[in-house]
Amino acid sequence: MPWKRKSKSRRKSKKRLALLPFILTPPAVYAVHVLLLFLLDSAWGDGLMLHQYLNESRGVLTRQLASDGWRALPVFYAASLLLWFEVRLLSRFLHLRGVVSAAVAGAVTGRLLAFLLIGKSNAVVIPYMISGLLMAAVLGWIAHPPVARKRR
Amino acid sequence: MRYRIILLSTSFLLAMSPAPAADHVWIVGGGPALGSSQAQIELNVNWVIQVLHGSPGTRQLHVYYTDGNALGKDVVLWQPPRESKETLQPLARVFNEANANGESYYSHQIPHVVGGTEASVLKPGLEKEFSALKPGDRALLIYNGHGLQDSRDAAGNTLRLWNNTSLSVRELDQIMNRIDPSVPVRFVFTQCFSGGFERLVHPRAQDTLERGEASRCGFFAESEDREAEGCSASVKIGDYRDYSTFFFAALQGHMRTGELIEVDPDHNGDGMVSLHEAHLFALAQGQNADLPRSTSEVFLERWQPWYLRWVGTGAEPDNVYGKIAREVARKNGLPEAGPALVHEMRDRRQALAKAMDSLQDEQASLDKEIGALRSTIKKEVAARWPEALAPYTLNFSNFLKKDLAAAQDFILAHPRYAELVTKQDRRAALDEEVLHVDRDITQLDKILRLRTLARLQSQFARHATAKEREWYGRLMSCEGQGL
Repeated sequence: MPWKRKSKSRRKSKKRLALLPFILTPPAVYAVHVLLLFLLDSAWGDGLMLHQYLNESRGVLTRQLASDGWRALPVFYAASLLLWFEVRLLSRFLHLRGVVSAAVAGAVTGRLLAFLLIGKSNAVVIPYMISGLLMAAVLGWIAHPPVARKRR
Repeated sequence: MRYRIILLSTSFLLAMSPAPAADHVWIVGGGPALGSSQAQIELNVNWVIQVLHGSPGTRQLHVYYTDGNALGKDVVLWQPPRESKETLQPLARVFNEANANGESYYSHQIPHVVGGTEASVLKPGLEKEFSALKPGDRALLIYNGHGLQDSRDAAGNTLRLWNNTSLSVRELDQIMNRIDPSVPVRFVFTQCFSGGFERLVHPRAQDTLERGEASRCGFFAESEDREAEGCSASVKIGDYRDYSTFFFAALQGHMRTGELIEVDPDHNGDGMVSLHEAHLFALAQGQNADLPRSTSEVFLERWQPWYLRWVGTGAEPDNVYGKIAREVARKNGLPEAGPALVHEMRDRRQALAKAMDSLQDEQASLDKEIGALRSTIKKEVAARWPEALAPYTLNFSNFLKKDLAAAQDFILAHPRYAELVTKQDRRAALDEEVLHVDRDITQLDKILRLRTLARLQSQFARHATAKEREWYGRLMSCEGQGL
């Protein structure tokens, strides 16, 4: 029955498509995280990233960013899992649905984790808070797409 | 008879008992060839020997220098030549030998030299002497010379040894593996790209955080990819002020020029200046183009985990590096800390970079102008005395005997000679100006690096694992020893 086979493969490709945001979100958020660090470092820090790019070895900077990224990604994937569970739990038990509530939960989680594990100063906490906010917002959007989109 | 028995038994007991522990110092110095074996390296090595002799305790010296005890000339000394016909300076200026005309050559005057630095002599020498070290001994290796970079792998960076031979980080690591692991091995490398030798503290000189079994630590004038302040062949003693100048001044209590040092390098106030304290002194006081580092500092830089990198780069912890950062900023007329310092540093860097660009542009255009001027005058000299163009020939010898005076008079009277002299002198002065600007830029780099180290030290105190703390502690205890 060829029509059955067709619908199965459609379902499979739909599933794959649904997985795509989960695969792409952590690296995308990490890229934003690095950009954020660059902005904070340039505006309120010593400007080390720009200094290294302009005055020191660009090769070393590139290698450092790549190796940091390689180590950071598993953590960002793990954080995305944690945030996904948070988003689901919030909607199930507190009926807090949508992007905004997910983003708030993500920001609080990011802030808490950074505060406990990395450092207490705002300069340390803010980038992780914003990363948590972004990641959770995306996951909240995936879990509970806006109503208008659903109707369509 | 009784005395004879006592004497015999005493000497027997002495022969049977193990030799007392001793401090051994290896000094390896000089350039790879006559032209790059500057007198300042010799002066520095002699000074280091003086510092070692003047320090408390006894130590066995093993000095390897250029061609060892061979009779050949192995040191070049440069002094500005007099502007006269007797020194052939007019001829030298036109024939592009003005700099070489100030050079003189002699055989080194280093005492206690046991051998030359040619790799085929130095390697077996070090292997033999390192193998003889026993538990309780201490080793210190000081290198004063030139270095080369392997841009693909820092473990391939080399010491440039006599007769254009070399010794790489990896080779030295293999030689050092002969030393009993309990013997502390300290090293001071002052050459270009010396930071590559930091790999000696890691197993098989690899690029890892892990420390080897051996107790090794060291100090370096530069990173693995930066040139150190150049060795000058000049005899002016104050001209040469590289990392080792300040490092050994801290250990001796006065500068190489004889003046007492103003700041007490004894940070912990225990009455002894350790190698680490000497390094901190060199960091704080060295107004030169070197950006020195120690193995413990490189360890911190390598340790920093991804989640702490670039985070909170404006923080200013009040530890030893933070204090030195403020001191260097103050000495350079900058605000000590805060956003004001960062902004001022950015502005100053821009101004210095602009100054450097304009100096380099001037150098390039002067090179062209000098080339054209020399070529014009040389053509006219060659038209009259073609023999002058063929050195190492009978013609040239005849030219020197018969026509030298007339040729130099012609050059001196040439309408464009005065212009050539002015431009060549300006070109030489530009080298000096470039060095000064480079030194000023390095001070800014140093402040940034010290502030980073200050943050790293405080991050390490909070985030390091027990194993990492043990590695760092071992490095600090090795660096914290005295001479």
